[in-house]
Amino acid sequence: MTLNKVTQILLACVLLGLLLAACDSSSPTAAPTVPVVEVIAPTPETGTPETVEITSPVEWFIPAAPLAASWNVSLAPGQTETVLMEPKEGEAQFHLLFLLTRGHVLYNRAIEVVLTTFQERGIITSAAVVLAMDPETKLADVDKCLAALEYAEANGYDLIYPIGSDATAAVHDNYRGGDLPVVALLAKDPVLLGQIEAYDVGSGTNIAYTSVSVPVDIQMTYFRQLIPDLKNIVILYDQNNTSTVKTQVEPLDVYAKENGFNLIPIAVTQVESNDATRIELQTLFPPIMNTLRHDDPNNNQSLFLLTNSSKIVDVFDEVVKLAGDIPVVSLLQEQVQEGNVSAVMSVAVSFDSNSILAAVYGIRILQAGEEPGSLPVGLITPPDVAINFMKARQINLRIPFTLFETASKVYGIDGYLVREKGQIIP
Amino acid sequence: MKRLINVVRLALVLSISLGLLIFIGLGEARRTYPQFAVEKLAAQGELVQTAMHPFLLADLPLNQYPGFNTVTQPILSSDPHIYAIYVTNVPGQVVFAQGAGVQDVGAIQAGQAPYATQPDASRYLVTENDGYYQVSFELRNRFDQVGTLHITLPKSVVQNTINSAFLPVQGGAVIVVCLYMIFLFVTSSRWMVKEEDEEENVFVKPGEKVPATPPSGWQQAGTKLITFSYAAGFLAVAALVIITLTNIYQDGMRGKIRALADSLGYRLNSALELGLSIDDFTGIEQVFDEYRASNPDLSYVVLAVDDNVIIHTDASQNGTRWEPQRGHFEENASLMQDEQTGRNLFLHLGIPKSVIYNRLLTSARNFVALFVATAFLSSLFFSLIRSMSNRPPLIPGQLRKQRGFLLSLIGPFYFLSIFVIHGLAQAFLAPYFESLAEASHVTSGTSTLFSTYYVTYTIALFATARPADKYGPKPFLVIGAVLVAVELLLLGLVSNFYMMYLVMAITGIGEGMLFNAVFSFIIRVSSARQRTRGASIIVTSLYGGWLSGTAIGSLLAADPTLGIRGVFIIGAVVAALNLLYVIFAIPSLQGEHFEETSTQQFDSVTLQPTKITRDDMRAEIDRERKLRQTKGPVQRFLLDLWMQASSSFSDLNFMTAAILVGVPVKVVVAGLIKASLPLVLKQQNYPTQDVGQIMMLYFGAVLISSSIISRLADKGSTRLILFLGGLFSGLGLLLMGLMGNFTGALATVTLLAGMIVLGLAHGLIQAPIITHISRTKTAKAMGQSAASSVYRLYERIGNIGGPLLIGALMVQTTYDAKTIIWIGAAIASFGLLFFLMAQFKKKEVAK
Repeated sequence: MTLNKVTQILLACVLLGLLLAACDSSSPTAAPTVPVVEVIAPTPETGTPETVEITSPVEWFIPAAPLAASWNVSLAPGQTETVLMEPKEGEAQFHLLFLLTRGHVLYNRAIEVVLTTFQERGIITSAAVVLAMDPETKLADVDKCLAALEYAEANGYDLIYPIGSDATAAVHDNYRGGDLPVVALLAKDPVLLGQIEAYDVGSGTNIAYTSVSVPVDIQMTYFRQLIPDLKNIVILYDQNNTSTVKTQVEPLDVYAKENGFNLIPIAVTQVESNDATRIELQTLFPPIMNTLRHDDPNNNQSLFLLTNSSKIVDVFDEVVKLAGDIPVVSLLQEQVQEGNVSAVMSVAVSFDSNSILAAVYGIRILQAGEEPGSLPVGLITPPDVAINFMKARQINLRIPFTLFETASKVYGIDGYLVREKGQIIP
Repeated sequence: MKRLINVVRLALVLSISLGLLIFIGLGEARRTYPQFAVEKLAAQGELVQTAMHPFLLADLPLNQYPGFNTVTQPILSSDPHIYAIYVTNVPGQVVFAQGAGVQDVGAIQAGQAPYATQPDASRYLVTENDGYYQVSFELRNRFDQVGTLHITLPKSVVQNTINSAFLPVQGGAVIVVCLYMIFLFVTSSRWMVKEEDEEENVFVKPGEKVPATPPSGWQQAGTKLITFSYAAGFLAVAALVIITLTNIYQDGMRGKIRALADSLGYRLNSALELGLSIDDFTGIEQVFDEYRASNPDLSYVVLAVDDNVIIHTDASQNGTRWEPQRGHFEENASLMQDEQTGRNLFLHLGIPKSVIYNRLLTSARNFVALFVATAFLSSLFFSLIRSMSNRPPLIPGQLRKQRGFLLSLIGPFYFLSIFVIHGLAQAFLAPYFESLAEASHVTSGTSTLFSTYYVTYTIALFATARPADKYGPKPFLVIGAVLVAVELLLLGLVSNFYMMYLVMAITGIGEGMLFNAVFSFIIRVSSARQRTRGASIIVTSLYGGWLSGTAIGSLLAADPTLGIRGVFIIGAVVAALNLLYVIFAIPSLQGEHFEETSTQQFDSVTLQPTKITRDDMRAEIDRERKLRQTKGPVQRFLLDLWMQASSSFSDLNFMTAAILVGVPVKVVVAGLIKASLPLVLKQQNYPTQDVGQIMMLYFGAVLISSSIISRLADKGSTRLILFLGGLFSGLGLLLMGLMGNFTGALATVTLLAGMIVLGLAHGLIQAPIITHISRTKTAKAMGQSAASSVYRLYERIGNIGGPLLIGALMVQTTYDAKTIIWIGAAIASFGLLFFLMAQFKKKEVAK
C-alpha cells in the first residue's frame, strides 16, 4: 500500500469521526455495562404500543427496540467482544457479521436498519457484532479485525459488514479476495479513497462498496436545478482539514474546470476558536461579495456551498449572515434547520439511507446470488434534500417544484419543520 | 302464406346481419371502453402512488406508511365502482387494503395475466383475470422495489356499463327489423315472383334456357328494393351503434380526465397544504409538460387564478384570460386556497374530442368492412331464398330439367366452405400458429403447417378427381364438409402445436375433395351457356367467401369475450350447418342423365372445355399403358406426376410462363399472403381487425381484376398481360414492403396501395395464364387438358414450397417488412425476364 493511500484512509477516519461527532454528541463509552431499558416500540400495524425490554451484555452495543423485540442478544461463548443475535422466531436463513472498530450509537442504528431491512423482506437472519478496537488507543485493531474474519469463516457466516471507514479500510487491505462476501457500510467515498477505480464499476473482488458521500456530479445536478444559470460557487472549507479538501473541494474544482463555472474558495485557517474563524470570515467575505456583485448583480447565478468541515459547521450562522441574498447550500442536512439562520437547501446522504442500501446489496448477494465484485459503488440517489422556505423567501429564491416533491425535510414559510420523511408535521 | 314466409326469410337475413353488427359494436366497446376504464383506474392509482412516494423516498418501511386510508377514502367515495385499493410487500403479503373487495384479494389476484392492450408499459402494469381488471404500480424507495400498489375494478362494472348502453341499440334493431318486414310485406307485389312467372322460369325446357340472373325488369327492380331497404336498415342500426359508442367513449374519457385532474391536483395541493404558495415554486410548467408527456391524450394543462391563466402548457397563453377551449373535453379541479395570497386556484385539463373521433373512426371503418362482408353474405342468401322460394319439385331421374336451380344451390355451399376454411382465420391463423409454436418451443414451424396443408390439398386434388367423376360429387361434398367441420372443431378445442399438422392435413384433404366435388357438380349440371355462370360461382365464392370471412373473422377475433378459439368454434358451427345444407338441400346426381362430362376436360378457372386432340388421345393411351405396367399405387402416382411434368421440360414458353409467372404467384399467395403477412402485420402492431381489412383489399382487388380480365384474356396478348401481372405483383410487393421504411399513416397508405396493386396484378394473371398455357407447344403436343394439368402441378409446387421459402426468409429477417421489398424485386424481375425471353423466342421464331 502506498503512503498516499494510508494517508487517505487515516484522513477518512478522522473525517468520519468528526462527522459522527457532529451528528451525535452522545459517547458510546457512556453506556452502562449491562443496561436494562424499557422502551415503547412502535407497532404501526396494530396501533397498540408494545413494551420491549432491552438488554445487552456489552456497553458498546445497545440494540434498539426493534432488534430487541425480534432477536435474543448474548455474548458469544468464550468471547468478550463478540455479541450474538439469534432470531426469536424461525431459523436464520443467513448469518451476518458486523465488524466495528469502535462502538457508537450511529453504528447501532446502522445494524438495526440492516437487520430490519432483511426482516421486512421476509428474510430471517442471525448476526454477530464484533468489536475490533485497541482498548488503549481506541483505534482500529487490525489483528482483531483479522481474528473476526477468521471467526466468520470458521463459524459459517455468509456476509460481512465492516461498519465505518476504519473497518472498511482494514477489510479492504487484508481481506480482498477472501472467501466471504463483504459489503461496506457507513464508509466514505471509496473512489476518492482509492479503494476502487470508478463509481459505475464493481471492485472485481469479494467486496462491494457503498458511500455516504454524494458524488460531485449529482450534487451539481441539484445545484443547477436550484439555480439554472449557476455560474459561481463559493466553497467554504477549513484549509487544515485535508480530508475535506481531498474529498469535497478538489473534486469540485476539477468538475468546475471541466464544466466552465467559477469555483471561488473561501478557506479558513484561523481555527483555534470560533470567534477567530468568524473574524477571519468577516475579512474574507467582502472582496468575494464585491466580485459576485460585479459578476452576478442580480444574485441569481451564484451560491455558497458549505462543506462539512467541523470548523465551518461551527460558524455556519456567520456564513449565512455574510452571504446576504445569495443562497447558501450545505452538504450536511443539519444545516437546514428551523428559523432563518439556515442554509436554504442541503444535499446529503443520511446514514440510514446508506444502511438500507448496504442491506439491499447484501440481499442481492445472498438471495439473488450476485457477485459482490460486480456491484457498482452504492450511491444514494436521489440524495436526502432539505429545504427551508422561510430562508428561500427571505432571499427571493423560488424552489423547483420537483425538488420540493422529493425533499425529505421541508421547513415552511414560518421556519418550522412542516414535512419530514413524507409526513406532514402538524 | 308464401309471401309471409319469404318476408320472414329476408328479415332473418337482415336480423343476422344486424346481430353481427351489434355484436361487432359490442366488441368495439368491449375493446375500447375497458381501456378508458383502465386509464382512469391508472390515474386514480397514480394519485395514491404520488401520495406514498415522498414517504418511500425517505426509506421508511412500507408498513409504517400512515396515510393510506386518508388518501384512498376520497377515491373510493367518488368512484364506488373501484373494488379494492391495496398494497402488497415484496413477498406478496397484503400490507394495506381499502374498498369493498378487501376480503377478496385472493380472488382478485388469482390468475392475473397481462392485459392485452396495456396503454403504457413503463408507468404501471395492467393485468386481468376472469373477474377483475387490475392496475399495479411499483412502490420503490431509493434502492429497490419495496412493494406494489394495486387498484382493482370488477369487469362486471365495465360489462354492465356497455350492456346498458347497448340496450337501446338492440331495441332499435328489433324495430328496424319489424319495419323492414312491414315494408317487405307491403311491397311484396313489387319483388315477389308471381305464380305464373314462377312456372315460366322454373320449369325450363330441356333446351336449356335457364336465366343466370333475374331477366325481367320488375324482378330486378324488386331486387334493388330489397337491397336498398336492407342497406337502409343496416345503416340505421350502424348509426345507432356509432352514437352509442360515442356516448360510452365520452363517458370513459370524462372519467379518465377527472381522475387525471385529481391526481395532478393532489400533487399541487401537497405544497398548498403546507401553507406554501404557488409563487414559492418554479418548474410547475415542467411538471405539467411531463404530466402531458406521460398522458399523451392530454392537449393542455392550465393553472389559473380565478379566470387568469398563470401557467399553461402552451406558454404563449400565460397571462391571458381563461376560456374553455373548443373541441375539447375539459375537467376542472379546484385546488386548495393559496393561504398566502388568498387566491382561488383552478386546474384545467383538456383532452381533444378528436381522440374520441379517431377511435370512432376505427369503429366506423370496421362497420364498413362488416357491411361489405355482410353484403356478400346477404346477396348470397337473398338469391338462395329467391331460389328456394321458387323451388321446383326435384324428381329423381329428371334433375336435368332443373339445371338453373341446381346451379344456384352450389354457390352458397362453396362460399360458406371458403368462408370458414380460409376467410374466418385468414387474419390471425399464422400468428395463432406462431404463438402455439412458441409455446412448444418450436422455431419456424408455422410455414411447415401451411405446406402440410398444401401437400394434402394437392394429393386430395389428384386422388379425388376421377372418383368424383365416377361416383358423383355428393359423397365428396359430404365428406369434405365433414372434414372441414372437424378441422374447425379441432382448432377450437386443441391447442397442441403438433396436433396442428393433423388439423392442416385434414383441411387440405377436405378442401381438395370439396373443390373437385364442386367443380364436378358445376360441370355436370351446367349447360354450355351456363358455364360462365358456373365459373363466376367458383370465382365469386372463392374470393367473396375469403373476403367476407376475413372481414368477419378478424372482427370477431378482436372481441375479447370471444377470442380466436371462439371464432373457430363459430366456424365449426357454420361448417356443421353447411354440412346439413349439403346433405338435405343438394341432391345426388348419381343416376341422373346429364351430358357425359369429365372434369378432366374442363379448365378449373374458366370452366371452358379443353380441346381433346388426337395427340391428346394418343398420349393418354400411352400414359395409361405405362401406368398399368407399374406396380403399386404410390409408384403409379409418382410416375404419373413425372410423366406429366417431364413432358413440359423442353418447352421454353411453357416453362417460363409457369416458373417465372405462375409459380411465383402461388409462392406469394401461399407463402406470403396466407402464411407470413399476418405475422409481418402483427409485428407492425396492426390489430387483428385491421389485418383482416387489409387482407380484404387484396381479395377484393383479385375479384375485380379477375372478373374484368377473364373477359379479355382470349382476345389480347396473354404474354403482355402476364408480363404486366408479374411486374405489378412486384410493384405491389415493393409498396407493401415500404411500410417498413415509414411510420404512421404513410406506412399504412403504402401498405394498402401495395395490397390493392398486388391483388389487381394477381387477378390479371389468374385466367390469362391458362389461356397462355393452352397456346404453348406442350399443349399442342400433349393436349390442352394435359398441359393444363401439368401447369397445375407446377402451381402446387409453388403452393407447397411458398410457405417454406417465404417462411424461411421471414424467420431469418424476424418478419421484417422490408423483406417484402426484396421478394417484390425478385417477382418483378421474373416478370421482366419472362417478357424478354418471350420476345427473344418470338424473334427466333420470326427468323
